[in-house]
Amino acid sequence: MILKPGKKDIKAIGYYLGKIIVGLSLTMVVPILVGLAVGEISPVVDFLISMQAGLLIGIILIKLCNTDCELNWMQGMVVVSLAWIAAMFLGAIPMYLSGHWGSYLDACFDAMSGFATTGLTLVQRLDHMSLTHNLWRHLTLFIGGQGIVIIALSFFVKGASGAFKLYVGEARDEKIMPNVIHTSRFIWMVSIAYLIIGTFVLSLIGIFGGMKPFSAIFHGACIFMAAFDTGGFSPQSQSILYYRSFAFEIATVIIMILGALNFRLHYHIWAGNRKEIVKNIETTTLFVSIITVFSIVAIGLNQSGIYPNAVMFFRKGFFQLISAHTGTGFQTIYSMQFVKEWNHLALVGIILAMGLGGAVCSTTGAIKMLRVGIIFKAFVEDIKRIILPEKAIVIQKFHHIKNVFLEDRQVRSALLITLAYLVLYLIGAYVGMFYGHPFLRSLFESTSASANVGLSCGITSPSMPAVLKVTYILQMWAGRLEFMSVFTLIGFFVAALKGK
Amino acid sequence: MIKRKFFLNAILGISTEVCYALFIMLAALLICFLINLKI
Amino acid sequence: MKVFSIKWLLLFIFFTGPLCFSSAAEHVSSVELINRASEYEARTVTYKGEVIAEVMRRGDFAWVNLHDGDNAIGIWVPLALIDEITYTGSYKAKGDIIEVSGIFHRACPEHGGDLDIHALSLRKIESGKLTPEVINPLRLKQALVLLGILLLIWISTLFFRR
Repeated sequence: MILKPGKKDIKAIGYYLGKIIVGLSLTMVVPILVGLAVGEISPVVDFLISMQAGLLIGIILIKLCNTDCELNWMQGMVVVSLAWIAAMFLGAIPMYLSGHWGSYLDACFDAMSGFATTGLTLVQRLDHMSLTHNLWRHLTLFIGGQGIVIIALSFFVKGASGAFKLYVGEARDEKIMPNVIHTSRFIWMVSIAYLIIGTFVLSLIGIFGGMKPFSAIFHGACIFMAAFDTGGFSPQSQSILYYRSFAFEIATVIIMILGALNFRLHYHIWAGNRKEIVKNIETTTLFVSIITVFSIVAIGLNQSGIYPNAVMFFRKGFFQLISAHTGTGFQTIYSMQFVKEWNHLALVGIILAMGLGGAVCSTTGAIKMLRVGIIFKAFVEDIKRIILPEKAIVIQKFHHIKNVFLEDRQVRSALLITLAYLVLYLIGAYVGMFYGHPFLRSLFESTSASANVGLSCGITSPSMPAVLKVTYILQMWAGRLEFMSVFTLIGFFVAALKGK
Repeated sequence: MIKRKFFLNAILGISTEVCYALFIMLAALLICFLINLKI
Repeated sequence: MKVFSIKWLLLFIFFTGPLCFSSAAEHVSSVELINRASEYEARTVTYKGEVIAEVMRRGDFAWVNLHDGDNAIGIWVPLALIDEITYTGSYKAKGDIIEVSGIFHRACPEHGGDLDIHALSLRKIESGKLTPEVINPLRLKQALVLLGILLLIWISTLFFRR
């Protein structure tokens, strides 16, 4: 018997949702301060309106739904899924007010793309955008990459039990530290530390590459946020191609790989357990996966003959591959070059890389390396069972921070989420084909949206149909939250309608 | 003392992670040369 | 006889002249360059666009990015030619409209496979200008109204606490 959600459930959901909306609104103080510092007053007004609107909605929700109740699992998951939708609507307000998006739907697309660290964009005249609005685009990557809920957990939510349910609902089920609020703060600490180092390195490269110091620092900070949070927005319309710099590309590749690592791994390595980098199932699977998929891409590019030497192969082929595999979405080629110059084999390699993704509890999307590793180990175990004598006891282990025995429930969970992602990729591909795009291109764009990558082969544009825009928004949302919160929300509404 | 130890471990940790990324890049570069030489 | 030869010469120039000039430097858009890159590979093309972002100096050359409304293409320009550029496109400025003639590369061997144009000549078509921002008075009013509502809520919270 399905129980209808009661007043208590709605109050708990409304209360915590209100807190998250308030927290998110307050992050707009950053672009406001930057706008005042650089003398961009019109954008400051846009952000004041957006921040105040968000605070108003959040405070009203908190006042109306005031409760002392701790969240249960269902409520936590619903809060998370609704928080991401609310973040999209709120984050889109300053974007729409800037005039660089054709409609509020387009602004919502970019807001969801930012928070979900995807990087697909419908922005127009990007090269004439104010620094303030450009910073906000990149801040959405930074906020979304850490986790919208993480912000609230770090500063606003006091109860640890409810906080953990929100944390898990945001597709972060790795317990880094015993207290989930300390875990959130640790994630911020790693990000800020790398922000300082990464911005410094990228700024230096920019200055040596002929950029003015202020510009180099601004671009360095934005590109770092986009790379570490594997988001893929860039301050200029040419993405990383704008910088025309091998050194810049290498630095961004390193930052992208760092962003694709599990935050729990960062914690253990930073705590002194450095051997974990070679023992961990995710880092070994990521290495094998990158090299295998890159070999496919390289063979494909070699067949098409567009890059005649090894350095070009590396700069173009490997950069796009890493951008795809880490779910970043930076490009050093134009979108149509994927279609016109890369052959199908190379394109399939990129789609595969996008679909696989990086580590769990990182900033990447897609199926993720832990699940790929577990599924591979499960196959090995089954093959051993067949080959070895019947009476032999087969035990499979894997190393993830500590040695873990492979159990059926882990394999089942990995396979279910993998299947969900594959279905999501295909649904988006079907919608793309419905609008006349060929299968491979549709699959490319759909995988890019669902896996929160951001590479585009030209389908994503302001002129694409509204249904396709909404499809990709939903794919980005579901892919980022790894389905459970989304399914819970659907279940919540079904229960509200049909429950007793 | 503990803070200094953590700071040192963090620096070494960052270096380890950067080395991992560089190792991946070197392996990829090797593949580029091998493919280019058509081996 | 002389007049007859001059007439044939003029006719020859009339019919073949345009062919010579068009094959020397074709006017192309960014979309054509990207979509038909292999056709234009190593050919001299003429491309026009607005200078956006920064001119990045690198030794004796500089990177200039020209946006023609669809895409921005990177132009590798000798330093001697960039003095004509006064405005670059940004939030508060419209960039100069520049026409460059140069050799197009689908995957430039000098620049790691980048799609670019190596400029041979550069001409300013239209000068850019500063475009100071305009603050919308309606937006200011909206911001003030919202601030007023928030202050009211805050004051009422203090009142109810007492």
